[in-house]
Amino acid sequence: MATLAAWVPQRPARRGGAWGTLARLAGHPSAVLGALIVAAVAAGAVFAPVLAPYAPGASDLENRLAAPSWLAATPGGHWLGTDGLGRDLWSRIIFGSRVSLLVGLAATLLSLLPGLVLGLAAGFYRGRVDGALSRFAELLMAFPHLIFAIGVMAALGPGFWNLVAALAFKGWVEFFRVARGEAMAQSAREYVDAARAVGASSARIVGRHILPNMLHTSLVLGTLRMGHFIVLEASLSFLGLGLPPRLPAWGTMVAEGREVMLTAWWVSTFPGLAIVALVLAVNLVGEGLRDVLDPRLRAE
Amino acid sequence: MRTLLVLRRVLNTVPIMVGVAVVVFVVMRMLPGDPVDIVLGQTGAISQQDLDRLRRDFHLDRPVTEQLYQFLAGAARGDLGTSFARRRPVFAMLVEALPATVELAVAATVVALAVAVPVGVLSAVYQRSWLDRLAMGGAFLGISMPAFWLGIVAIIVFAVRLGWFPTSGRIGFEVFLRPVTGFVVLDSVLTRNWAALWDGLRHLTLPAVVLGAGLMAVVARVMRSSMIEVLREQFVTTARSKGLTGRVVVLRHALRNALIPTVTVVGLQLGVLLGGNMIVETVFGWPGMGRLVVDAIFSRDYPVVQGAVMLYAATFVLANLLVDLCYIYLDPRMAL
Amino acid sequence: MRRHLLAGVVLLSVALAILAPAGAQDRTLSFALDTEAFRRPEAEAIAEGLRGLGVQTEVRVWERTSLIARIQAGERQAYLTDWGSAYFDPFDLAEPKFTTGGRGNYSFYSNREVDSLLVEGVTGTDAARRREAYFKVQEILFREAPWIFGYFRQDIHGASTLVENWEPSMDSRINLHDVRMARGGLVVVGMNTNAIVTFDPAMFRDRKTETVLRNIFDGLVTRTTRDRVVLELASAMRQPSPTLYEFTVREGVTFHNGDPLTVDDVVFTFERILRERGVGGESSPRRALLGPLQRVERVDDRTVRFVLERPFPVFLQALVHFQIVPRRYIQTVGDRAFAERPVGAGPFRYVTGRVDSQIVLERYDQYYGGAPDLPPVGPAPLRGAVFRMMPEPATRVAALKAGEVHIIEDLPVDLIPEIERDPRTTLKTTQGTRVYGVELNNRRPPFNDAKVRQALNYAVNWEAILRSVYRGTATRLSTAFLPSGFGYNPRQQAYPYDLARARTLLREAGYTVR
Repeated sequence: MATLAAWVPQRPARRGGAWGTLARLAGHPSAVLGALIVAAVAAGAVFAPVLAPYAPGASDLENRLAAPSWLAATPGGHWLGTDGLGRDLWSRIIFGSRVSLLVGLAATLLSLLPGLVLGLAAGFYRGRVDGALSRFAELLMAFPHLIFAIGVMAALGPGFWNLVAALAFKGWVEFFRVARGEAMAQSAREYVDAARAVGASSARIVGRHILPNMLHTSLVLGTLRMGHFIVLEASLSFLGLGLPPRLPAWGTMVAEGREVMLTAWWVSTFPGLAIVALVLAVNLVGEGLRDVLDPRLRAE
Repeated sequence: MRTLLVLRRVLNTVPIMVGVAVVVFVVMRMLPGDPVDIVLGQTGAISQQDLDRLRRDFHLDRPVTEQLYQFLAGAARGDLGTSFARRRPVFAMLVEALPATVELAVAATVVALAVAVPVGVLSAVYQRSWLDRLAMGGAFLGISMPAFWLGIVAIIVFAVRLGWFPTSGRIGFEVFLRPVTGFVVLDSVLTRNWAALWDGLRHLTLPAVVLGAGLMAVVARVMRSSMIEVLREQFVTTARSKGLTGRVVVLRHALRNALIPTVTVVGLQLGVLLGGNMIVETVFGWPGMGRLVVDAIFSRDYPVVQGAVMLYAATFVLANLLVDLCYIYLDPRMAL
Repeated sequence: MRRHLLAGVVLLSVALAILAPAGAQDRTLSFALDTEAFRRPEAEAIAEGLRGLGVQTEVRVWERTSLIARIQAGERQAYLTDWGSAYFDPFDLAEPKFTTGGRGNYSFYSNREVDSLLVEGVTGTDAARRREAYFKVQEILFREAPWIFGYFRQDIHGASTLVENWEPSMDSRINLHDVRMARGGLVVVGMNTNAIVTFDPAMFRDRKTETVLRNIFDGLVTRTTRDRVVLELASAMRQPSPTLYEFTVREGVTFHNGDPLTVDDVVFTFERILRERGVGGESSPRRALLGPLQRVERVDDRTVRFVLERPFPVFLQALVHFQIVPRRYIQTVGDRAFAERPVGAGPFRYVTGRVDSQIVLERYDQYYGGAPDLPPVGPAPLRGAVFRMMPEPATRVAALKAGEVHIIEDLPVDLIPEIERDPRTTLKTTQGTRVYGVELNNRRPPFNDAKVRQALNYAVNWEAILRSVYRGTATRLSTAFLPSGFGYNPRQQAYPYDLARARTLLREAGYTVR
């Protein structure tokens, strides 16, 4: 948890404007690669019905656990093979990108936004609000994340939003801590004092000075976190607390195939590689953002 | 001033522990499912008396507020109650399961550090080289492949195909080890049982590598970036200008400074390792706390879940407390 | 402005289409099908099949305990459930599942006639009349179709070819007394569980714990690998009246600590369970398994008498699951210490181990020999046995292939060919005693209509599902009675897969079908 925060630059970035940032990002090769992969996954998600050769739920019970077509001749030509119900793995991976991307995005946003807002409020206004929120955050931090998620899933039952809730319910704490710390550090700085002296309202100070500085940190942290959520979904599936089968998710697919790893390794390996690719890509973008936004690295 | 700060910080942990206790108590009772029903299992002709008998035994016939009070009062005395399923004191169960979990977490950390620190340093020194890229790619594989996949692959490759390591378990049954602390490695050293040490290490290797994979990735990256920063610092440049060779600079000056953030990260990550290893424990048949807790959640064994979460929380709170205390003593401004 | 209006209309109509109650004009049958993770493929196959009929089914995967709690609250519609029977009698299957208000009656089925027939079957003294009652129940159940009736499975285990003379038992016990090893004299068993519950035979309810404990402890009676009850620690049995059972305790039997096993130990064993808080201040969860047993008396130095409140035809089957514990030892060291270091009169004695990792047993050389009806009689040929807890199926199979363990429980069906192909491993199967099906909530629409329930029984292609998902290791059931249990009617046929009849019935119930 706190580890990810340690990856993120702690000093304030100089403001460069969104376009400037993007332009510099375009000159960053690994970030471009990451962005391309993310774009490809996103395209796969959007155009899944066009791209996938089979419907994700179309089972063929006579053709279960068929090997990838380049390993053995299989009827139907499933180039990544089929799963335990004879469904085309490639199609399921394509459709799964929708769910996995959405899980990652939704959980990240639902962690990021409340974390950011509450962290800002706590760090800027301090006092009793800060005390209560910080205590609560610390309390949640003390629960192991997976145990917490298991409890939430068991209580709420299956469902996409229940899963997102289970992931985000604790996920916001990290953003809260970072945002609070940053807000505290920033509000002690001269330019904030100066703004105050000029008579700027609190909202204006937060909006114009503190928030932009923090957005960078949060953005990087968010991209790093997203991968973690996608993997966590796999862990919950392993424990039997996954998404409804209507939503084929990569994590669930990895978990489902593990029993037959010895003989039909493809069932769980290919979705796993899809997770790796996506997490890698998201992180590359995050890294790129960090490099671009960190003024000292940029000066190099 | 300093004493006061320390005292305040220590007292601060009390409400958090109470809060954790209350939250876990409430959350467990919000989960649908009746513990008594589960304990009685599937059978015919269960009478109301049978149900009532167990409900009384488990104190579930008392009002919830009273149950909460009993739990808090007990926990304050170190009595965490009795497991519904196993009818043993929860405290004894945790004490039994904890060493396995801690041992695995420590081993994972050691493995992670042993690999990640050199890799991180080399990646920083030879920035943007093929080695750097390869290492960072590997790091991503480590964090993004679910642990159960890595575990099963490791078992199939290293235990079944190559036969280098045992598939699972903590120690072979042929090896007799007198338990002293409950830590296999420690106990075998204490009792000079080298056969047990060898066997224990062989059992420990695969799960430690798999559990450590995530941490390895994190540490390698933190190490790399802090190393890059340190190498750019004034004193390194100065050292270089004094004519010291590259290796000496890296090892003697830069490494020491770059390790500081790494240590912080590892310290905090240890808590995550302790709380998130039920999957590795399941795959490797490792008799630790993670499996105990998950089982207890699924069977609604309230006292066990409560006790275990309290223990996790106490570890976390304690670690944080220590870090903060260190800051209080190290930060010169605090001395005023 | 106009564009906004248009957008508004489109949005509104989309919203209406979503919100409109299903079946305003077009009454499609749609429901949620709930399952635990381990039966997810089967649930998906069922749902996929029903879609072809125009029935909309959404599969949802739950954690077991939450699902059952919600089922019991009447919140769910259709659910894949299972129920095990240990007594080879509908006593612990049909009775809890179909009696009005029964503890396992998740379908909320209620039929007065069935209720009274089940009472007759469970408490009757005349076997022929009991059987007749159970036949009648099966007939009614079939007609009213409270569930989508399912199947039972083979219990599939894997074993090393080094293991000789071992057959798995239908009651899922792993009896190692008769087993020999071609090499080594030590057998290692990979158990499908995180942990067994305890070493105290009075304090558990699950089969896994029993599997281990039955090798350390013996009972008055035991069972063959199938369903026949034979004498074990008892050398003779009499039943002077339907509510009285008398056993002669075998002579010359000793516990692992050397104490002789006497009538007092038998009485003590059962009193511990019958008394509230009888086990070191805790109540035994096994009380209910003894049904109407009222008390256990010492008649003389060798005879013990069981007094029942009312006739209990499955009493002997029940007794198989109760192991005799040493009174003197427990009274000396206390119940808790006993559970840490169990002492029994079984073929193996406890050496060391923990419930959540591995349990090491060694042969008890002074063993009296076990049930005379189950040869070979005498001390176990094995030098020792080890039970290892291996909850992950992939790991169990890996350990078997690596030669680390010799017997593994619950082999995943998709790995059957792998185990068969390997010359060092072999498959061991036995008939399971667990009923799997899809229970329907009979109290709420749409399944309060018998026509709909019957239609679904015709609409599920079980044969194809069992053949592919379970690789033919499961057998179709006509209702929820097991062929291994008393009173099963082998002539009753299961619902055939017949889409035409399913369509007709659904149309009659007022649904549109494809």
